[in-house]
Amino acid sequence: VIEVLAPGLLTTVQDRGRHGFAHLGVACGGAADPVSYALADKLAGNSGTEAALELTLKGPELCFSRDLTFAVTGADFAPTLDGRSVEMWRTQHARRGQTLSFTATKSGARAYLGLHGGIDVPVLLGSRSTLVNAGFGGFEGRALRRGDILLVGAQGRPGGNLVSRYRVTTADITPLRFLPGIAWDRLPPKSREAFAGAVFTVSEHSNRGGLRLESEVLAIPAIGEELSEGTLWGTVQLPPSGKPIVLMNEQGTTGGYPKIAQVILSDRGVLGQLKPRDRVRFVAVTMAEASKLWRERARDEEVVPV
Amino acid sequence: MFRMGEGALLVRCGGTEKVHALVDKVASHRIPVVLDLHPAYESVLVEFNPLATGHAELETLLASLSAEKPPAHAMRTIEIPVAYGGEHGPDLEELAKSHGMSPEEVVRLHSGACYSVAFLGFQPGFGYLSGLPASLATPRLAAPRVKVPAGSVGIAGGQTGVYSFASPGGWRIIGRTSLELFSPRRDPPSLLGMGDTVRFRPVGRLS
Repeated sequence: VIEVLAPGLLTTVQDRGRHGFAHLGVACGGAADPVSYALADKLAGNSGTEAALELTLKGPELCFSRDLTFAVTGADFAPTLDGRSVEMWRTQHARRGQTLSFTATKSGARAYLGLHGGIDVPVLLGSRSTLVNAGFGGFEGRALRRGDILLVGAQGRPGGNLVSRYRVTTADITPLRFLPGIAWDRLPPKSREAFAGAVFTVSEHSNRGGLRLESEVLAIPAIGEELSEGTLWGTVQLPPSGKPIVLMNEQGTTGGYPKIAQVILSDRGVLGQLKPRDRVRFVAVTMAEASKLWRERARDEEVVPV
Repeated sequence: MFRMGEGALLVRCGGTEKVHALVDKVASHRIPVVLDLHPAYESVLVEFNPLATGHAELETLLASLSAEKPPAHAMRTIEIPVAYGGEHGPDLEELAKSHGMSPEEVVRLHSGACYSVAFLGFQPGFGYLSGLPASLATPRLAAPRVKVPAGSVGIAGGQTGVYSFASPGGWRIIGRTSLELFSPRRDPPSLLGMGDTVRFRPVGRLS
């Protein structure tokens, strides 16, 4: 009931991702900005767990072949419905035959299109999300192409219209809050200071597996390789090049480079909104601060009636 | 145990058998606060829901499991047919040369050994196999390939393994199998499981 007129750069079906299969080498995947995803789904009248579309850098053009309730969140891709601007972060209704179009992003990397009833694709290993690097899940295991037809679960309209207060924030230099990784203590004090003080640029060679960071002034001296150990979304590895890699949600479940830091859970969504050439710096926090921020984050996913 | 962020504990067990025992025990208890287990050679990374439990609580729980006997494990042997060399194994000749062997000798040694799946990681269904004959240990490629096809059999250092999905990679590729190592629609989805025995059988060409 949705026809893809133009696919955009990397438009995929995503949800909260997969848990319980890391021991088989399956990363959690799912929406790279979990807060924006959950809000898109809730604002479209769902529970916050249905399958939505994740747009990356350049958005698609979609034609609705029946009346549909939807919501757009995340980065600003200037959505329009039949040429008229669509307000983000609130419940919207489209009529049969209307076309929803997006441009390239204005700031941030990813936007989410939630649809009432969710996108109807098979559940594989407990999730409808697309694991892009492995090529399974979601819509035929891949990004959308022109001519694809997506089915949407439910008919009819949800109860009322909703809005959220949460917005994706962008900064000239995005702070990434971190806790020490297991190799942090092995870094010489100078390297620790350099890591926490430097401004890094996100490289073009970044994807859902990881963000490669570069710094003009700094390469942190390598501290060798290790026996492979478990890695997470947000784990910062230091390869021999001295250029840190922040692992994303499609990370390898294990890795052999020294793990010097762990970006806190609350900043995973921030990682998902970083795009090539964005600048970041690392800010140390304590475990107590990080835990408090995570407990409070549930509020970000709240929606309220209009 | 190391607290890796707010929602994970890295447990260094000190050996592959202990890793397998811990994973089996945690899995058999079906602890709802535990979201995921990332086993490796000598450690298990335990991901948990920090809104439902804390590091200290989980540390106590995991410590109490160490006294328990691991659940019995069915031992399986999996045979993987491999077309060695040629287009399927572009690094076979050079790898043989670097060890002063013929390609046939490398194939004989690689397919003659008996391997054990230390753990699965890196990509879905990718087994890190231990048991590579020491004479075949070879460093990774200096420049990783942009794309290694699914089913490629490779060597990296003292490890060997089979790429379950096409991906960039720096392992030296000596052959390829047509077996599907991972399918999300299969139960279990992974052909290989931790602790399984693996043997490679040379075949003339891919079926």
